[in-house]
Amino acid sequence: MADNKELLESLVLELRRGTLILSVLSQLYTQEYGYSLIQKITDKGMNIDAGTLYPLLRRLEKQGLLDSSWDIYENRPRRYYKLNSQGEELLKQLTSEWNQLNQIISQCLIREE
Amino acid sequence: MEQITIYVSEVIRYLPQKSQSEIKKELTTNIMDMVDELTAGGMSEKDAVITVLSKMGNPRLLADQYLDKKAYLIGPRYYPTYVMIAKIVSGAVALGITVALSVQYLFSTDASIIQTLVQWLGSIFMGVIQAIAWVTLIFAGVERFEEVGVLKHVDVELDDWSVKDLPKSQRNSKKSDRIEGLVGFLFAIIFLILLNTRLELFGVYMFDQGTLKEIIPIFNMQNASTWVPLISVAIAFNAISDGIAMALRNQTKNTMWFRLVLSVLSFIFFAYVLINGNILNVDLATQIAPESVELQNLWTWVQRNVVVVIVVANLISMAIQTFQINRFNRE
Repeated sequence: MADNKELLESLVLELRRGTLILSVLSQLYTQEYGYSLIQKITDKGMNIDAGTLYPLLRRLEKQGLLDSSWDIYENRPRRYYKLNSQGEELLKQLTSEWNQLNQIISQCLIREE
Repeated sequence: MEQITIYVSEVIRYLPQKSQSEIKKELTTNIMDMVDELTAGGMSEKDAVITVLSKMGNPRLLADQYLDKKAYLIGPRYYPTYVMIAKIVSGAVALGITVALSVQYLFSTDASIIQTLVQWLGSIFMGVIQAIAWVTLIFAGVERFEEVGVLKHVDVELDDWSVKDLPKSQRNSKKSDRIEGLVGFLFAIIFLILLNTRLELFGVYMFDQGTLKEIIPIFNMQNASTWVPLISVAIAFNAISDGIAMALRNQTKNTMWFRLVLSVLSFIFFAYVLINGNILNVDLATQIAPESVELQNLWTWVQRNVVVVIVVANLISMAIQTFQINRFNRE
């Protein structure tokens, strides 16, 4: 059974990985910096590694979905990220995909006699 | 706090130059935010740093995440190993070709030195290019097959990373420094042993019809007991300096300063012996060819200028060391 537990863990990880970008984008209607975003996402019950999130933010920005700006007036210089119009548009599409998928999977999961 | 700086510098050293400073700033702030959160909860700063860095994981893997996947032939996981292997293989190929051609030249009766030199340069050029091409191909393959999963578990140590694996200070020495150190150290030791036990071997080997007739010493054998110990001390200082470069994975500012001091000491001894020691065999030219005035003149010139050459070489080496310390300070 120990094997089964390990397998479950890796499958859950895989499942969450697919939803990571959706969770991140969904929290960026308001601007956030790296660590504040981790807290925000964690508070909602989703786990995300700092080592995954920080590079991901830069990648999303490079893909043109986020805008970023430095705030140098705080005690530490912080880089804030926020969805831009292209990002918002993509998030809407991704959300509707997610909702559809959710319905389909729910259907699939109903056990037929 | 120093550990954070080291950790961040370990991450960015694998990244393209243009994004380094941005990521450095951002990552440092993010890590410090995480540390602050833990210390606010009552944890000591030292423990908080260790906890956060452990959570962030191996710097090389984090760097991997920052890079766009597979936008490279050989990624940061394998790049350092790739460079090392490529250097070793190229060196071995060059050495092999040199040895083979030297033997060929020595034993052939009609080969001219120019012809052999041209052949040597051509062979080394082609040989080294081929060696690098093969190594590159193999590593690029490893990089791709890893994606397929064949080699997924090859580099296991990458995932087994802990804060203890972080270098003690910001990395400065390259692998090549260590290899240079090793080569220098070995040469110094061999030279020291020969100098002190078989001084007569340093000489011009005179053959008569294929048999060794005599070895005419390059060095002044009569007063050897006065200058050999001094030269030995000078070489020993160099050996220690090379030994440090060889043994240390990361040189700190202190070890760099220490090596510079050793170089200066070694230089002082060398210069003293060369200027006052009368260490060369004055009669070398007459002993080789009593009639040749050219050889006589050449040998006189060498005796006069060897001091200059060694002094200049030492000064250049010390200048490079000083420059490195300077660069280290700025980083």
